[in-house]
Amino acid sequence: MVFFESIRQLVLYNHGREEDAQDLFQEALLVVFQKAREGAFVLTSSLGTYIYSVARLLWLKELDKRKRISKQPVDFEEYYDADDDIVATAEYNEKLGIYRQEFEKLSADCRKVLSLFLLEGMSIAAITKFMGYRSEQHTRNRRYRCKLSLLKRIRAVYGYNEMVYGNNEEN
Amino acid sequence: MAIMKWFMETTKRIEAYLEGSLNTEDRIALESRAAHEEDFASLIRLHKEINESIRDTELHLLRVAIKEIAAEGGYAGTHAQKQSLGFSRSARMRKYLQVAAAVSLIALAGITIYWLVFAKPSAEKLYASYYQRYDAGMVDRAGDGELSRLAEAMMSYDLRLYPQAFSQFSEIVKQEPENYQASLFLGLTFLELQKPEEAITALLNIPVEWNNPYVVHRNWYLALAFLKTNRQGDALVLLENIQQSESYYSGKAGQIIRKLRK
Repeated sequence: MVFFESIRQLVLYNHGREEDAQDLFQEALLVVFQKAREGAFVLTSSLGTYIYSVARLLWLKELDKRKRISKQPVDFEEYYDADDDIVATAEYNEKLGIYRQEFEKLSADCRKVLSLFLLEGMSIAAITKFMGYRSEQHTRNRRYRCKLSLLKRIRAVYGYNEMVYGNNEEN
Repeated sequence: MAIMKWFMETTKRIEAYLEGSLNTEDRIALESRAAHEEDFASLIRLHKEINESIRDTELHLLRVAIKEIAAEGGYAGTHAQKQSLGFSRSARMRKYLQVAAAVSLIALAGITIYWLVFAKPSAEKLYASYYQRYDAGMVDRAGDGELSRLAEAMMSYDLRLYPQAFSQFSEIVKQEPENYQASLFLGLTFLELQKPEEAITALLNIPVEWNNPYVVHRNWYLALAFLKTNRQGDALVLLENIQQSESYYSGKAGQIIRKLRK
């Protein structure tokens, strides 16, 4: 398999399992996408080598986290030393993925209000009209309650401090 | 109940801060609290990142697409997935799915690269995508007699009577060159009148160090006016400042920067 196989081999021969390889591959693709979008995508090798190098760095960090040291892993593709910033991007992507996942679990109404405001950039007046709410104040309250509800869900995943994030539910 | 109200107020305040609509006094108080309380600073960061996760549909769609490809037979598939897809029963099926997955992935990579490398939108198109009329309803119109002239002009803007608003704001700016709020609205009026060069002149009349929460709007609309007139270099400098300012427009500024640098 084109990009995946070498990453799969890397993981399987270096203390990982099939599922780790899949997760790592997805993570690496998302990082490459982010880097390309930021304009930091200077392709000096083949795309496969770039993805492999990103995946390799992420896997070494993961092994380090799991206390499985593999300073000189068995490699299956040419690679170069990817920037350490890759790890920060992967961590940021993972966080955004969790936030987005929790956002998708909100009620359709909450998702709509937050999207209209944040994604479409609509004014409170326009959202009130669009959603058929009774007043702009109601729209504002709805928006903040939905945001608070999302914070609560994220807190449940991350275990953030209860005092900071409260105990609200709005669905 | 009182605790709930407190949580709600905190959320409102942080959101207003990120939008750039907090007044100077409240903004300074909030920033000071964030500087002294790590938990509070984390909460502001969390709000900002959550907003970014909702705005960033590109990343979300790509994540969903990759997961779908994996689930549809995948570049490997878990043992359970393989069983459910008949992998253990049929080697031919397995081979077929691997090929299909490979083709899908190559197509995805190809599309992504094409999109990233070639699909560069023009500055004019970016302006059209991101420009939205400023909502004057957000502005506090209370004040003394001197401000009432401004309030009247803002009412014209609010009612979309732009030629009238232009006359009123121009008059105020002429008599009070340091009335920067009037300059801001004069610039906004010019943008509505499709006169970006004049908008730039009006907005540049406002000093960068203007100690007013509306300065974020001045920078945003000035950057858009630069885009409209194809001054991409000037727009980029401003957009980078906006992106770093952690204001309401930071996310959008980041999106435009990425698109301009394609």
